[in-house]
Amino acid sequence: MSLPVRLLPSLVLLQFWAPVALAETLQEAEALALLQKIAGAARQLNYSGTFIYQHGDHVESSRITHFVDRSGEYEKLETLDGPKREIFRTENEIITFDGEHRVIKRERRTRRNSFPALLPDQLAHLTEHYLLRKGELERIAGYDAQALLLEPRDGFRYGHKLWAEASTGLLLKARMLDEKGHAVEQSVFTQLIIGAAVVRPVFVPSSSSSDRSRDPPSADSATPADTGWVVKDQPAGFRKIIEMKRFKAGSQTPVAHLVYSDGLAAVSVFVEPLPTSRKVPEGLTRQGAVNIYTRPLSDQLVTVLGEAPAVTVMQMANSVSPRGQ
Amino acid sequence: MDKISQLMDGELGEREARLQIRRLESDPSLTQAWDTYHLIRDALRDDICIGIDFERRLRQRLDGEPTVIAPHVHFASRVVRYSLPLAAAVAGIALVGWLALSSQPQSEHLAETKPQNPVAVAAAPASGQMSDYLLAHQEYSPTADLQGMASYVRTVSNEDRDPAR
Repeated sequence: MSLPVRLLPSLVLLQFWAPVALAETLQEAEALALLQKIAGAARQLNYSGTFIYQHGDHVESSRITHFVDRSGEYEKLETLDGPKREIFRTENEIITFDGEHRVIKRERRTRRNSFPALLPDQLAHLTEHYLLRKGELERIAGYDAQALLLEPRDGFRYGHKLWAEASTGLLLKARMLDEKGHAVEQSVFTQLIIGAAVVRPVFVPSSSSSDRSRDPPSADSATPADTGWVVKDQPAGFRKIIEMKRFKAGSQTPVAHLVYSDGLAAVSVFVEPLPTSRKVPEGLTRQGAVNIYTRPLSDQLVTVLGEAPAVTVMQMANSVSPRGQ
Repeated sequence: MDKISQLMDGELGEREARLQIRRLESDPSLTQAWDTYHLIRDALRDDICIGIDFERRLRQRLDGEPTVIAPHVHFASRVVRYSLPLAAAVAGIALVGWLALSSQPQSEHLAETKPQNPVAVAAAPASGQMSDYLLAHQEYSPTADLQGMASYVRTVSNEDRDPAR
């Protein structure tokens, strides 16, 4: 008795199945370790360089510096194209300056230390929703880089390809991909120094312009709190990681902010009273890989955004409701 | 659902297309999927936005219109049948109008309730607030944690700047 020819490939597949599955698990463990190394490197290393950010037809370059010593982390991002903007980030505060060193926004940071990069229990869930694989070695900005692929197992999240500097793990290049494999956003260093040569970024506005920044805006803030809101129908794997009330400087009305994550992508839900003074934009927009969806909900305005496909953001926005209803 | 997406892409033959359109009319969940697919496709292609309930609301308004023609047994279902392509046509007109009036496609919104008011469409009032929200979001995103400050480029990206600030 002979087997039909068409069954032969599946028999061959069966024979190799077990070792293949094992290899995948080993690859995932290795890839997870690399992911943690990347997250650690971003916070623990001193580095400074120029990088290119692109999505669609849009390309722009910026310079970033990360400096850390015993007193903490000091970071700066400076736009190199178009109007000048600088963002400084310390452990306590995020400050945005315009081209004349005037403060245009301040935000107090409160939760940083209790919110480490990539929580271990989230990493454990990551493999349920992404297939992790090590990629090839490539050369980026003069460094050897190890590629890492995170392929989503469903259509509710983007794929990621990351290139980490081979010895330190610092992320040199990152690309987010939609379900068809098209890049929705990419950022890549074109020039970079890592290590002792990096100096601490200066945070005070330059003296020549200090007179104009005499009256800087006071800081926005956020406090972890029960907001009374809940997302009832989030896609599989998205769990609430934090819930808080945000206060815009000078405003007594809090904005509810809930964050959901599948361990890699995050989606933020904002709920605030429907403004009466201005026209409210309604619908879907994009900023690079971030989809933003806004809709009124009785007398409230719901804004949901995250680096996730439109369907994820919209499904969550459409299922926001007061807790207990 | 696959058939619906094929219908949307014009991949179905005439007979199959008619069949799927009839399914669309009778099944609200398919109508919802139809809306969502269009919204997503529009957003992906052109960064424009038409509210998800556009077709449903238009249909409600059509249903609410006074009936001028003499009543007919099948009239109600015919309104529903015609409202779908009509909705698409109206959306198309609105889109053309919007394209003609707009010079900055990103982060602007098609004001579905007041398409006759181009000034309101072009105002994009919340872009400052949106960058506040983006900034707040980055703090808690694991993806942003991998990228360090690089992820903040979205909040200062020069294409999305509010000129009023």
